[in-house]
Amino acid sequence: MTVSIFVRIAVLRSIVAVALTLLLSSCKLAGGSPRGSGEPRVLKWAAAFPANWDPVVQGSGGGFRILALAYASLTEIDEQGTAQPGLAKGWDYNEVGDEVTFHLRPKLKFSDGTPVNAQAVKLYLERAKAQRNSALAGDLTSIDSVRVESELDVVLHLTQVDHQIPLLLGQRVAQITSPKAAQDLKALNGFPVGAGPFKVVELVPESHVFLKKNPDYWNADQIFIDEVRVYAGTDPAMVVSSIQTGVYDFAGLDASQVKAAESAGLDVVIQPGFNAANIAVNRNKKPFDDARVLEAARYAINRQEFVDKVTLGYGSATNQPFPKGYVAYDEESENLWPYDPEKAKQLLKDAGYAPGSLSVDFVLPAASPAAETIQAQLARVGINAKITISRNWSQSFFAKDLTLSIYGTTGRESPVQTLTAHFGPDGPLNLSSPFVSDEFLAAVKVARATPLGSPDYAKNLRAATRAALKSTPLIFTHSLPNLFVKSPRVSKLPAIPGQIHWTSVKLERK
Amino acid sequence: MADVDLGSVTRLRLERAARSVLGALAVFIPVFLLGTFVTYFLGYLSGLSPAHLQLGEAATPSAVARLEHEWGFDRPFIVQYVSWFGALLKGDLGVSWYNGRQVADLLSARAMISLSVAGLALVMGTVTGVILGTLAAVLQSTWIDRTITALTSFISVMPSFVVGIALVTVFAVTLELLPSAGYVPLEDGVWPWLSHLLLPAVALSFDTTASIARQLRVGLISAYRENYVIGASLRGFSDRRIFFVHVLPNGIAPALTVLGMKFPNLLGGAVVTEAIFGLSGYGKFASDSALRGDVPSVQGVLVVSVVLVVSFNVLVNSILNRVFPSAGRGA
Repeated sequence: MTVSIFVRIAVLRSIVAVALTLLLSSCKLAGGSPRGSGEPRVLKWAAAFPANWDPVVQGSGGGFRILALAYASLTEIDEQGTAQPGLAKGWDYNEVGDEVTFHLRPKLKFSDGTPVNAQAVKLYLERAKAQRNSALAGDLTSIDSVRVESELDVVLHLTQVDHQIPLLLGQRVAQITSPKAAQDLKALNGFPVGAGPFKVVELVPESHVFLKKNPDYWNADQIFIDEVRVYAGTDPAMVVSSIQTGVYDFAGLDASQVKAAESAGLDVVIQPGFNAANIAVNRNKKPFDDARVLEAARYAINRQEFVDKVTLGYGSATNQPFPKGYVAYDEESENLWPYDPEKAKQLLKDAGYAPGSLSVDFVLPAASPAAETIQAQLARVGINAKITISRNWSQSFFAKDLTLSIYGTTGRESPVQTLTAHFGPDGPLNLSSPFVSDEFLAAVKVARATPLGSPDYAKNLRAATRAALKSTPLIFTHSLPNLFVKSPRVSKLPAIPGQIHWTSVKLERK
Repeated sequence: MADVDLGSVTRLRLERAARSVLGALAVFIPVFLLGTFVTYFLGYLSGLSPAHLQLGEAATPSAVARLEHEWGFDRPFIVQYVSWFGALLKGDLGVSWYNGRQVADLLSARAMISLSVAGLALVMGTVTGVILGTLAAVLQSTWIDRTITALTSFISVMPSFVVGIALVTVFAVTLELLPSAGYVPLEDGVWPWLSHLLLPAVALSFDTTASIARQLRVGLISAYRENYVIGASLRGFSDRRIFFVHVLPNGIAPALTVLGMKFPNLLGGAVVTEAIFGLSGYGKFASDSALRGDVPSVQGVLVVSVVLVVSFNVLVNSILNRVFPSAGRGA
């Protein structure tokens, strides 16, 4: 069938017409609206969305950084990790150290207009201790009861002498909620009502949350951002282009994207943190109930390989639940069980295992390069770790049913809390729980009882770290700082360990 | 007399409409029942528990048992299924294990984003596919036909993440014409809304473009070879009349069938595109929920997908039956 020139011309003419229409309409629309200097300074942040907006349910995991936009905490920490005033302008311990009174700032309000007072703090702490779905109850075992002394003074009676409380009641554990909003816990968990630097104006779960500056925030004078828009995270490979093109101003950054971000002229923010990854070994189960096997596993680990391959050089090796340089990091323990594969092989031989004859289940919540590195390193000394991915991993892990697994902590503001979570008899991260050594219990008691300002504080804390490391089979491998990327229009962020603070941060208008 | 004729015609039309509706229901109901049963059964088979998402570090055996009792997981499977299906019929897709929200609310919050992208991708894919397919058929065996065939083959095998990254690199990073990611609601303005949709829609439309272009080309060329077209040509009908009256209506059926199947694919299959362009849509929700092991959310997505796929197939079949009565006879 021959097709006439008429049809050809008609079809071509239609194509040209459609193309021109699209082009013209796009040019017409592309003008956009002009940006004036009076427009609000808006920070656009791409982040992993927290599942819960009630800090009591959310717990002390990484999501607290987003919640900290809407909630203010009782205390803060500074760049050295030292406790600083927050909603509380100060605190006093009694002479024994088993009672602490927090003095709140006057005339503060939650975003729903409810006053921030001692009663609100009491209700929050009691809720965090007793609420059925509280993720913070385990962090508050040192608090026995809470008493309202006056409108602005709240007294915490402790179960033991514990000078860590001002550190404990920081952003991860004590983001105080409005007592009025907490009357409807379901609603509060879907829409935060706090006294933080910003107020939520719109929230669509796992999509976005829009916030406006809260003029009633206790440190509002130091907040220079008018609006924050947080969007549920984007693909790690697209973060750099998204910041480069102004879609976002700030986002978490994968180590693999650091060079791309630098090449694009963006600011890579290496925020200090308490992150530390470990190999969790259960000394209550075979074959790790044999101290020689346990020791062999410790000598089998080459930490530098994690730094090179897992963190791509941006992390650091650590055999402790703290990064090097932190007050609780014990330099004396730095060379405990160094990498020595020959010694590991000999220990396995002494324990009666021929090369390659020892197999162990290695159960993980998700595939990870770190786990594969562990598997390869154990294989080099003759331990065959069989990887299984289990979506119900947490049930087995926290029930202490696993033999070998991994865990990564984002840490706590209180180093004693970090130690007890990992090494304590009820520590959720102690896979060998209820195992605990008497030496650790004694050392941690001393550390807890040491006032934060005492000249012995660092020494006692490090002694507790040392006792912890010698007691249990957790094998720490590496620490990766929190990596972020920001647009150059966002000024430098305060380097507060583990946190993201917008106090004093300035934003150039586009 | 005229009244009687009109009444008969109306009755006939009503009967035909009723037959059509009953036919559609006869397809929809069994597929829906089977699809939803398989959906629930898969969730049951997964052995997942809300404990891993809700208890975190507090997932002690007693806490897990208490939580599973609260969710009714200690009941027999069939009791759980009947309870879930009963709620489903009332529009209740359950509650997300991850954040405790109603799955129906979570899905409806994403509907506008996904419908916008999928709708635009469908329009783009259809317009481009029809233009390319028609052009290739009309100019068959020329270099234009060969070029179009090569182009459609190429874009049909391009993974959407490659297309997405390439579009961002060219149009967002290098030319700075369009935003590289994100979504702006329509209330914020037509251009901001459209500008955020263009790149993901283009990336998503490639598959539709290629499928429609290829099916249309084959359909039209086949129709051009039919005796009635040759006869019409010999009778001296104009080329325009031959194309629009004889060729296009008879050659469009395969493309129309493909089109009907594409929309559900665009809506549910946009996982990678939505991830690359930072869109919190239906596809990203499905993949995030599956990765988290949030069973009620995944089941909700699957149920909506079953409804969409079956509905679109029924719709397309109805159109095909209307346009081509022979299709209904299986001829």
